[in-house]
Amino acid sequence: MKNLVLLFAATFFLLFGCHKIDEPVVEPTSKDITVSVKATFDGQVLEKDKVLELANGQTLDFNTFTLYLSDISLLKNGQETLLSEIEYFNFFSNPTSPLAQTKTFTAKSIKSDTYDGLKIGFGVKPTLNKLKPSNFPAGHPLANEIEFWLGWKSYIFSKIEIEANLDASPDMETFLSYHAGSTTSNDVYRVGSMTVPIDLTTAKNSFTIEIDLKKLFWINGKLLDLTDPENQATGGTPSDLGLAAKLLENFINTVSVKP
Amino acid sequence: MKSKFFKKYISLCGATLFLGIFILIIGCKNIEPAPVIEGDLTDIPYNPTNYVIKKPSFYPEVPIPADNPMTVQGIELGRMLFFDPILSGDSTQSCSTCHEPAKSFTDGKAVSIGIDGLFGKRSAMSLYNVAYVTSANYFTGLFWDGRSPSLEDQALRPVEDPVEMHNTWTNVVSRLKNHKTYPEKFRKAFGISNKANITKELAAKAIAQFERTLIGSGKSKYDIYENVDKNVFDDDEVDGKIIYFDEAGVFGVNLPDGQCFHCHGGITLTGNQFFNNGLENVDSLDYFPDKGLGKFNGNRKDNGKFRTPTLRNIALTAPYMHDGRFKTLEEVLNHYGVHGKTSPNEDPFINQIGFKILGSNPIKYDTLSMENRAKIVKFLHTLTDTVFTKNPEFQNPFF
Repeated sequence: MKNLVLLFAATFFLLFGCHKIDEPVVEPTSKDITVSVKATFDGQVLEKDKVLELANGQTLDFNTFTLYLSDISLLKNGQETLLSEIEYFNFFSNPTSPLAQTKTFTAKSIKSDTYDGLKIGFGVKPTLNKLKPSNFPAGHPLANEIEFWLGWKSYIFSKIEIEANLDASPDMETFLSYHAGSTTSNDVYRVGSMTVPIDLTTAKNSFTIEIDLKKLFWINGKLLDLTDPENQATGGTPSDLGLAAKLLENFINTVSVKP
Repeated sequence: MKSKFFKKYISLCGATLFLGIFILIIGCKNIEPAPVIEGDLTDIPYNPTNYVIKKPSFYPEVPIPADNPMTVQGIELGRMLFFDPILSGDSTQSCSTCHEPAKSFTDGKAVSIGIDGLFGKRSAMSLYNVAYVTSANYFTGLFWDGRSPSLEDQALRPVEDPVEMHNTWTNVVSRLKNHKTYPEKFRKAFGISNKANITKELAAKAIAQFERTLIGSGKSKYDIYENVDKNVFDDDEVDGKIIYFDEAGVFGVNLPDGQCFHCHGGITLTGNQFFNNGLENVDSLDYFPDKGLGKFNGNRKDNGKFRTPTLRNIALTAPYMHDGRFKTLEEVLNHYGVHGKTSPNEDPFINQIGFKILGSNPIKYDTLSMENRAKIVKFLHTLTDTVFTKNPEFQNPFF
């Protein structure tokens, strides 16, 4: 009987003692994630009013870079975790600095996990592009009426304006203007995804999306011929959206993710 | 006996009366009234009424700063201050001197003239839809050079400008504190408890509140065309709109692109952004007679750039440009129609005016024909909104 009591006591201490020692560190199951979006050119922060080397002696001088991104999502085993439905970036919004501003947004209650990819819609997705600025509260990215193209009843998905020197002359002789918008009947909205590990476990609660504009002009490994007038400006007709679609499709290839 | 009683009665009454007067005098002396605090306003009720901005349904929501919510009482005070010459040094000019409702809140002058007869450097800007000159997403600022970040900040500046109202805020606040009406209005608008709490910042907040109500009616001919009835435009007005918005491709017609909407876009027909619209022939960025945004932000590449004004009510706001150099819309179109003048940072879209459809037969960099210039001018006249300029809530409250 005495041994039985001792055995019982030992078992009791073993069970409850071990339980305390082995109690796992409780990780929060979800947390807020800060996502930074940074514009670069050849790995360096994009700079306005600066001559930047593209290739073959061609140089670019950026004036404007704005971009809408839709349904920015993390991927894991094919499952999507939405970070933001819509974000607007005007990288040269600070009048006192020529450097592109890194913009951030916060995604709420994202599961702590290791993700294996990122999916981004370039432009304003069709369900939102059907709406107009008056449908949104002040401060919402789509309440931004200067980015609403009245003529086409579309948001301007991306605006890139560049003065370019394409002929090695002393001047920036060519103006490149890529204003991508869309009509519902001829959509240029493009979704891209990439495989990339994104660790949001333990103390990691942020990451950076870098968009390198130098890569925008390399399509399928080939430099876009900017001397061709067809490639110098997005078209003015709904049936002439080829260049805009091509650029929005290529945007995913400009993206890299940094911790 | 009767007489003795009567004497006693009289004496008693006299004593009582004396005692009463004594108590009254002494009593009144002892029960001193509550000390009167000079300038106290707390007996005036403070019940601010939330104001919901009246705007057309197709307009975006008006951004309101969290530290200056709109109230009926704040707007009433702001309207009085806006139209009251009390702000100027010699009490002859008010904000409305340079911003008249009938002229869409401009003054019809090339450059404004201050109380001492001095000429300002620039033309008064329209206040039509001025509430939208703000954004968290892109830089903009008030004045032609964007130097003021908010209406609250902007309202502070003309008072002390020696060329404009040539006064001091110390003097203005003193006048407001000693005014028969304003202390009560400030109490009702902002809940201050004493005249001494009237400040220039509160005055500016009230003016800003009034200015945020200056929203278009949505009843211009253009708005009716867009939202109600496509038949209100004649053929020239339709063509003018197509040229303005680069819609030739959309409509499949043979008209040039005016490129107007790149700068004068959106519902408010201004992006409130800054461009060099080709007003000067200069070889160097340093040679602009007025450096505009570049002088404010120190960026040489921004020299010669100015904020884009709204084109709504543009027919009422002559003369045009920051220095009022063009007297008519026809003169303006004659400027743009030949791609303006040349300077290193001239906006590239100016040189694309007349640009036709890219494609199999690109025709670019043409000038705009006189006929097409006239069509744009006709379209610009459809932007006139007299419901706005005649809105009783925007008029001088002292008349």
